Amino acid sequence: MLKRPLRFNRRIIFLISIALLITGVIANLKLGVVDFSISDLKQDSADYHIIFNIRTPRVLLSALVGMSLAISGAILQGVLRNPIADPSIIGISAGAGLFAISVMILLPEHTAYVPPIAFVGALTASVIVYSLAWRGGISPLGLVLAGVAVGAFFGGLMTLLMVFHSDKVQGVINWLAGGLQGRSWGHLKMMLPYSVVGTIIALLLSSRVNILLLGDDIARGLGMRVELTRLSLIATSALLAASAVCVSGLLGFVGLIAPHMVRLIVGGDNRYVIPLSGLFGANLMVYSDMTARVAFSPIEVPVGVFMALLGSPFFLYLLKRTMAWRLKG
Amino acid sequence: MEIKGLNMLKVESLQLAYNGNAVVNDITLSFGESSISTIIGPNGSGKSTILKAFARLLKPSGGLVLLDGKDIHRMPTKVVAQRMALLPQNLSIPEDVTVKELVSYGRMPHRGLLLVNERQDKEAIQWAISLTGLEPLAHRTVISLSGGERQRAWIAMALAQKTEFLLLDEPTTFLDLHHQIEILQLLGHLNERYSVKVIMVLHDINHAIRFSNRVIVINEGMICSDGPPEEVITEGLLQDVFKIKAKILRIEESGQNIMVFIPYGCLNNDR
Repeated sequence: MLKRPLRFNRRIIFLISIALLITGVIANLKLGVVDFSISDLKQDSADYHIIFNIRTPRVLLSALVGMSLAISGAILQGVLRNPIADPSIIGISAGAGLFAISVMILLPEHTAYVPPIAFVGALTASVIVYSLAWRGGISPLGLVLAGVAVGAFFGGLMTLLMVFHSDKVQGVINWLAGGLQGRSWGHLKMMLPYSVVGTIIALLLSSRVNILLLGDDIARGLGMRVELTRLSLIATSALLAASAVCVSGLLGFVGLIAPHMVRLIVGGDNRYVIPLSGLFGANLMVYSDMTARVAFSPIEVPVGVFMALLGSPFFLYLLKRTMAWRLKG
Repeated sequence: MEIKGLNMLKVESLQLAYNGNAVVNDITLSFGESSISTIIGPNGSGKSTILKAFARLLKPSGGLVLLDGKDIHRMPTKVVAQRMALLPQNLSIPEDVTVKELVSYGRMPHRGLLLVNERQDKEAIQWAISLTGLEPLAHRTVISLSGGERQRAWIAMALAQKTEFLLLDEPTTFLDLHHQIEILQLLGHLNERYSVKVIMVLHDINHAIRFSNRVIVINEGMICSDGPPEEVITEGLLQDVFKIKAKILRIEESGQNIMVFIPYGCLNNDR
């Protein structure tokens, strides 16, 4: 029997995470290799350029990427009834990545199409994984195996593409590393609509995830169109993952860590888990990116590396716990 | 709860199949009056399958399920859910859902994506919780309750749906005797006081006799007998359908004439 999660007042948790996020954004603007003081700030100065054209879009992007990945993971965990579902683990990010990189390499003048095409890739990957592993619920092992296979397949195609177009790879290397180095206002403009639409749909459907968790028969009895709802939720999750992947590359584990932190603190009600995961994910990315930038200054570590070091042990712990639980159950 | 005009659940020459194998052949039934109808039958007779078809969880391979004369599979599923609540047999629930949260899920068919009638929801939830005697447990997690309490919580969820039909698949399985009778009495009360039309599958024939107005006996996917329990349950039927030797007795207890049957042996299958 698992311990009952703590239940803090949800409103207070909301307020704290918003406050933390604002603090994090401001700290990100202030901290960095180049230090400055606000009073010295003049328009058209180098400092002004660093803050408004480099650090501001970057910190906003990191919040948006964190939010999207975390909500994407929270939805997947609910819909697949599986605590270790995450877009990076089950191959959805790889699907989005392959399609995104295809556009970047083959049609470099059409970057506006990167997000919708990445969405198609994410959706393809999730449908493949879903149909491979779904047996009225998905076992952790089945999901990981299907995810590894799909991820490896798309990863292989990605490598193939880069081998054949090695002359154009220079432009995407930066993106591949999984980080936010050198991202600009253009990236924000590209990602924002998809992220916002995905988040709104996720919030509207969040109460339905609760019903789905009671099983298909109960959900049908309550008048839910189960297959349609499940498909819409998976598509929303794919959209959010794709919008993040377009900007930050293959960044893992955010969708795993943030929702689990939220569930530990406020319990499993998805009407709170989904929005709070967004806030926690944004926080996680904002502070991780800051650490990645500043910790080894002047050398910058890609935040993807940082996240992998944080996330893998956590993932293994979850895998061990859920597998033991399945065996007992 | 108001009763609207001619509210009927009907099945017409219903045929059901699992993976192409016919399970149920040509069943016609209708449920109109406010009563408790119980479907009984041996294992594998198709009784749960029939209930699933009533609740539109299973598409018939032939025939129709009609609610108010309309094909249930052509009605919006949400509209059906406002008329009919279902409690399936194997229920699972996330570990931290409380009784009150579970009951509130019963309001789902009355909610839109954005539109919610807060007051009506609250009233229905309160009504369902107090009717099932769950007030003191409303903020406990469902998983921490005893089997009988848990079953009451699920019934409360179905009640919060505020439907006139309540379908239950073996609602007393896994409960001890006291809690079995408690659940059946609760259903009796709902039927008497609020005219909820109960249609359920039961395993225990004595319970079916004691707590229903109508018993439908299913064997090998067909109706063997249908009517008031006193007429339907005979020693001959128990022998033919359930393959048991049994004696039917009538006892006088607290002013009630109660019919019971005592099984005393098993018929050997002559195969």
